[in-house]
Amino acid sequence: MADALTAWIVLALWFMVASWTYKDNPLFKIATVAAVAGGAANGVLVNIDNIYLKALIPIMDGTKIWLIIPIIIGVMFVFVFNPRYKWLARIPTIFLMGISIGAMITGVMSAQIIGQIADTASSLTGGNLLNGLIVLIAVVTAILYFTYSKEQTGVLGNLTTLGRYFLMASIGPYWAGELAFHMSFGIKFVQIIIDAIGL
Amino acid sequence: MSDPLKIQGDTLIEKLGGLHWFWIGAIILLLIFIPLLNPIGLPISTTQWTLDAYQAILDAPKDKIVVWEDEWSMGGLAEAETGHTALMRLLLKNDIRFVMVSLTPDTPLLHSYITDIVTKTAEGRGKTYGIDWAQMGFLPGGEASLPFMAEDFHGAFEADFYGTPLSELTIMDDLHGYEDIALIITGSSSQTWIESPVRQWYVKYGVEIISYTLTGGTVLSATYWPDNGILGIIEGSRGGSELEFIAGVPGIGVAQSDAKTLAFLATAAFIVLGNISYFGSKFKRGGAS
Repeated sequence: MADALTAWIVLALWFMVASWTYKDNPLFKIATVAAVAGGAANGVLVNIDNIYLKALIPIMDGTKIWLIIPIIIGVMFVFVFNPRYKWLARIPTIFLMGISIGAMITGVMSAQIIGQIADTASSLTGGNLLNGLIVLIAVVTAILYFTYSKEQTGVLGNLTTLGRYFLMASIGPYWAGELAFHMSFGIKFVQIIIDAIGL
Repeated sequence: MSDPLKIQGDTLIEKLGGLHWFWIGAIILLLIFIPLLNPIGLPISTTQWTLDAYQAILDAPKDKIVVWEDEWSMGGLAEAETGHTALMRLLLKNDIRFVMVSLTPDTPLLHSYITDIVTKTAEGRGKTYGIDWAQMGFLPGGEASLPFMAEDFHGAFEADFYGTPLSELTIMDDLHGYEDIALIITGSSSQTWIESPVRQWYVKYGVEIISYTLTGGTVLSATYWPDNGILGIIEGSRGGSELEFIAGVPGIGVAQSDAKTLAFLATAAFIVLGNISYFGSKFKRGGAS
């Protein structure tokens, strides 16, 4: 019974959202606002629960009193709403940026720069030579496309045009993926209809 | 927004390109209905990276734990359901112990939803939560949270999603840090997320990864496969359907693949018609767009 009711509610919400493809209407707005509200409510509750379990309990039972420091830093975000003390909100922002960049930077050189250059070069020596050449030409011409210090005319213009074609070819799979991703939503929609009707 | 009932254009060739997207969507939806009601059984091609992912999972050392960190959320259920279900069934079928970790606040809902499905399957029956697998809650911090987990798993979580202390879960006795991890399965509906686990898990700790991205989202993952940290790639619902086929755990993916193939063929046909209309109209106007 509960499952059937859930299926019908889901079906109704799906129809409300899908109705936009015909025309913008209030039902579409109700469904989308409900989705945003539900997501936000879940996010708030999960985060409150996280802070309570991971910080407040250890602080209160005295096992990790130092956790009061990140709590204070986090609370500073609230000052963003107060024009006079807005500057205080910069502290947690900078703190988060610092941690994120610090965590990221250590792996960037090895994984995203050296590793990728080495792979591009090794594609010429190991495996199919033609594939290696295509990869090399694609990488060089695509990088040339992003050089702005010289006007892209003549030979350079031809190379950057080739680079642009390679870039466009690489964007093709992205778009196809996007299409496939959204196609899955259509398939799920039809599955919900089939389940709700009991076909 | 134009009226769906009014087809724009004067000539037939212009009208062809002026068809409202509502009708295109409606036709595609109708085409999806057919295989879902009555699976056609169109062949499923398997990609090398899915085969590699499957093999890497089978080769995972049994004395270690697979960590399945996940950025997929309940909003992406339509694309994630097939892959998640197939992956979890595959792990349970082969007695590979695993721990699920949520990297967004609503991933735990998705994990619970999938667990409900899988525990009712043949692979799920007889398996015990806390011994064969465990589900952690949300770990905030994005990329910065990964080294935290790698260094001290118990410090990062302390309790599972249901509030049970990790000390009470048998599986967690064997998982303290990166040395205990057999493999990372990193799931995300973002194509670019993969750079974070590669930087953290592979570069810093030498733990190899399976990328579980969305259909068509393999472009960036493929640059690290197969020798730069990524052992295999599961490509969203498509990869899920392949896994069902390869691993012998048939589910909703087979029917979904039929539906997707038909929908794609229809989309390709509409793209061709749109181009005929565009270039035909341009030609009639003497080349002016």
